[in-house]
Amino acid sequence: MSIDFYNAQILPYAGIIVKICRAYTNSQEDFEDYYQEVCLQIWKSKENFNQESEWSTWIYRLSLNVCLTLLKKSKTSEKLKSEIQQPELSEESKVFEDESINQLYVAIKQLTEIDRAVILLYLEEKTYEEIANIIGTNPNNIGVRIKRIKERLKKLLDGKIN
Amino acid sequence: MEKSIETIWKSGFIGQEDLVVPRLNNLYNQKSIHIIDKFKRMFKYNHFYIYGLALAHLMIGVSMGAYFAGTGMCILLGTLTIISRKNMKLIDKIDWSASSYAYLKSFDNYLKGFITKLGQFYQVFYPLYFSFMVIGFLETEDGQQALHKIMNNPDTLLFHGLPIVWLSSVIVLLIIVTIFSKPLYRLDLKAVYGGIMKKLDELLKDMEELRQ
Repeated sequence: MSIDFYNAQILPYAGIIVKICRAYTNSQEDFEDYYQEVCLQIWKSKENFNQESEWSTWIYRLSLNVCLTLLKKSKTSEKLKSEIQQPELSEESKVFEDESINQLYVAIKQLTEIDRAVILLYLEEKTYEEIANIIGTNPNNIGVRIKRIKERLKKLLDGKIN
Repeated sequence: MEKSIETIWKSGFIGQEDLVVPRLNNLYNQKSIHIIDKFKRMFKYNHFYIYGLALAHLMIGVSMGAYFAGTGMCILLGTLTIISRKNMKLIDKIDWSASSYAYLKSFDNYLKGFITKLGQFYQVFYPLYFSFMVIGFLETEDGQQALHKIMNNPDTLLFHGLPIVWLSSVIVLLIIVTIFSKPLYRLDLKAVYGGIMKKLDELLKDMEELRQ
């Protein structure tokens, strides 16, 4: 991967990748591995970008696919599940300066893998159509799904954030 | 008043300074280590498998009365494992302190050499294995009976006391096995290590592109 490609095509969207990778990892080491794998896959798959969607949308889709694939492969997924069942905010989870964001991430990690993707895309202000396109589902039930996820997040965050 | 998740998200990422992007310099190190570890694990499991197979051949041979063939096959498979294990020890001589690319390239060279050496052995292995199979059959009761039956037939043509039809069939098959021992070995290799060897090639190709 050339530095030019990384600086021009990936770095401006690094925020998206970081937000997604954070939602699927529980340690800094895993996060860095996931981030690097996403960047590598973007570079390797750049020829497949057909300009039907925006570059950022394509990055969302690819990042989610990579994270979901890595999560499935990861032997620590069971460990991850058991860790996220504890709603407490561990030191490892305090990756952002904003405490509310850390709490929100802890809650998001308790969602199913697909629900995590849906809510991340919703919070990034993607339209239902775009979310459905990225996830590969029907846009009709995205709204209902988001409502359900938000209710669950609200319950999980209840009393933790003011 | 409680904040909505949308507000938490927006306000939390306003400065974006929290989004520290990891450095990419370590991109291939982990991958290199991971793929070589996987190779080592596969070699190890394969050795155990061949050891088990050697023992199974001996036990089956003995139980069927094919003592010579059973022992021969066991020794043959045992030799294969010894050669393989001896070569596997060379992996540890590869310089770990080198760059990921140099390390992976050395491993690739080692692997190619190993495959060539083992390929030479397999050119002897397959014909010998086939010969032991034939001997094993003749050692068994069923084999003896079949041989006895054909020998008692007055129409059977013999060459040095052996039925020509059998002898020529075995020789033709032995020649075929010898000719096809290399493709057979490649097929065997592809079935066991094909996937990971492809990954190694892809990784090296990526790294070469990166170096350019």
